Amino acid sequence: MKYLLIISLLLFPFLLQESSPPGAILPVQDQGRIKPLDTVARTSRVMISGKEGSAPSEWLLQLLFAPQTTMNQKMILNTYPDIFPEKYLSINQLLPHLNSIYSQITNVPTEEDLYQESLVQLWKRIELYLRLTHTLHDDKQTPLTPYFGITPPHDFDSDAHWKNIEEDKTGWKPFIQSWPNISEPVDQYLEEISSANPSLVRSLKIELFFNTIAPFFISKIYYLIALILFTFLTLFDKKTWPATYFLIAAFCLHTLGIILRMVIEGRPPVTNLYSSALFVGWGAILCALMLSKKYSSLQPVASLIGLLTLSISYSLSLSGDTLEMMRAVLDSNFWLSLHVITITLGYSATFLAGFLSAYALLFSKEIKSTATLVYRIISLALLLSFIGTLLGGIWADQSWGRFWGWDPKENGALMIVLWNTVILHLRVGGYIKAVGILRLAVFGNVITSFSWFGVNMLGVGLHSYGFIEQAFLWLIVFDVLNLLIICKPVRIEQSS
Amino acid sequence: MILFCCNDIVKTHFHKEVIPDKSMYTMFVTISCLIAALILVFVSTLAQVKMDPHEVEQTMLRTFFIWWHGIPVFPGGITIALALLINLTISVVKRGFWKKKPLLMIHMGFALLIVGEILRMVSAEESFLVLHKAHQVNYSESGTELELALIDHSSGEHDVIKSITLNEHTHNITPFNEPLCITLNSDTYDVEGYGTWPLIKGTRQFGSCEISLRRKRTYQPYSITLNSFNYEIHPGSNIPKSFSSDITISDEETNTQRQVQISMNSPLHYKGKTFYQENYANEGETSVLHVVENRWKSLPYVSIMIIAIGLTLNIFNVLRKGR
Repeated sequence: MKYLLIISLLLFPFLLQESSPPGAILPVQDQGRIKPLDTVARTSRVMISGKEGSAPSEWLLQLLFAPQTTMNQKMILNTYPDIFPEKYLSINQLLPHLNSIYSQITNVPTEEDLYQESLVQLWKRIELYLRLTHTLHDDKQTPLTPYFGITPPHDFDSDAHWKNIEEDKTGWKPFIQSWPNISEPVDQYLEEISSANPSLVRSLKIELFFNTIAPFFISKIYYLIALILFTFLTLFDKKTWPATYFLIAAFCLHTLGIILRMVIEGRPPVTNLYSSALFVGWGAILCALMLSKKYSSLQPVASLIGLLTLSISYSLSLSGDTLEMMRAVLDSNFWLSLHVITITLGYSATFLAGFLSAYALLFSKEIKSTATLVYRIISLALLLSFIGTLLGGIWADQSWGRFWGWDPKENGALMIVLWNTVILHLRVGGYIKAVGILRLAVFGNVITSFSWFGVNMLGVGLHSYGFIEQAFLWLIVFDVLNLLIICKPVRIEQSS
Repeated sequence: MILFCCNDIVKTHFHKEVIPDKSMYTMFVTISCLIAALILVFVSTLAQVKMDPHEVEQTMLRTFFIWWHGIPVFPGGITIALALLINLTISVVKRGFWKKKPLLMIHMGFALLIVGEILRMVSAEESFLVLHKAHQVNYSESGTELELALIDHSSGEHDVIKSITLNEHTHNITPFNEPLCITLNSDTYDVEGYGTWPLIKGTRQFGSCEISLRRKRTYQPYSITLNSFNYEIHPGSNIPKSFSSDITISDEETNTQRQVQISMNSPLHYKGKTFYQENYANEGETSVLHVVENRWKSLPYVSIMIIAIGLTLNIFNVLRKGR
């Protein structure tokens, strides 16, 4: 019965897998990477509408091959209610206003306010939309360039330049001619690619599979269900195994997602802020599951961490394709991958200690045994964050000639190391006991959140983009909640 | 919150609620130093919003005290590091730390890390090589210091008669590709961005001389020529993929020539110096290399190894015994 549950939970996303239209797999070159059209559809749809919506591939194919039919679809998220009251606008509604919008954003004073900013955001959406419509229709009248390259070189080399419609007018001719029945030419095209560059077809298929099963979305829902089940089952004094199975299933899908991303990108698991959010959660949950045989309170905490980190990564994914190419500075290097993975696991362990302590303090439950566990996790966190930070130093020394540069991100990592060291010394010195360890570990959450996200927001006054501002607010909320938990009185007899 | 925590520690410490023993004072100092370091790092991070990172480093971290209107308000990075080092030495001597080997290793490794950093501060030399395509360069330039040089044109372009190091305006450095050269014609002269400087005595006597305010130069016994600078971006994007400089080193002492490629993440080691690809300008016509000379380069590596082994051994102890 139990095994049946977990197997069905794991199979569920595969049953749910959306079918994609034949054109979804067509390779295009965007942001330096060859990706299936489906990925572009999803990311550009998110950028234009603020959400993925249903059937993004069908939408993009329609937009590419028959732009006229989509002119009246209300797709573009309106962040500027002064022109139109509606939340979504069609491109036909916007076209008469393009000149006035453009002239307003080009005359932006240096001190941008929120009003201007929202107009800039709207313009970016319109621009992306128009560039997409030019992908297959070379239009001399517009200064906008097509959004992505479609015509591969003869050997289908993924690292070479793929021409866009302006550079090569014959691109995608067979598909344009036979639209909307493109499944046959697409199959022919794929065969042609696989005879020249079989690994490309394989990676396209993997990426399309990854997109359609949406592992992170499903696992986020599982984490949520697990959390709700834990709450209710504990409330009614029932056995919590169903929640545990949801947690395990969520973790398996989470792992699968990370592995698929690594395969697609051919990189270590952490390459940007988005993937660090995925990996921080993954590491914390892995650690929690490994220790949870002895400490049952770790499981609900793990579900909460999973839910939070996957929600964070979802909001980070709204700004575009999350499988970005690596910048020259960060490219390659054994030290870098080692450094990033270790430091991210250090964040995981510090968060796990913090969340676990917050849980114990909130419910005044098993204070003493939790404190012992938290102490162990903090020792682990210190090991990981210290080695991770120093590996970063080694890498910087090898590529830039300086071991340490007092860069905000480096400082953030150092602060985690220092804080964990402070806690360990306080405990060894006898200054703090169980409750003290828990409280200080909760403050570790505040410090880690600062060094993970806070340092990226230091320039808030200069570039107040919508997301960052919202994220800053959430960061403050998170920190205040943690401080409240620290200040919560705990009865003395439990702490003795 | 941190202040609240400090207050708590001070109270517990002085009220002797915990069993006082001989090691207490060093532990108290350790914790105070760590918390001070935490505050310092936090403040110096926030300060970088308004200040240049180099300035932050000079006024907060690489200093004994942070000064505010002539009053020392907070211990600087050097003070905290030295305090930790001295305190650690005392506690090792007094407490007999050596019974717990992993802990001893962690702390000794840490001490070595601080010593290495101090040695680096004292002895390491950093400079920059600005290479223009097909031009031979036999000097590196300081990133922070300026000099006023008298150049005698009658006997060759590089003949420097006298140069004076200027320490003012150290953080007001213009990009590398703009020359700071000026010709002398009155009692004072203006240098754009650097204010007005009084004329130095006696310079007028040199008819064929030029006075030049520039980055402080260090001449080397070899010269370097930039053959080409390569800049790659990921196709179909603006994301940089790699930078590299193809250079030729001509050594005047040994009369040899060598062709090398320096790229991001793969520097050149030559005559005790390490050359890193730092930057580029003029659409790849100019490449900037960062030159570092540090005899104690390997110390941090050794200390990291020691600390890493110590921490790993310690974690096994913690997991086994729970303390």
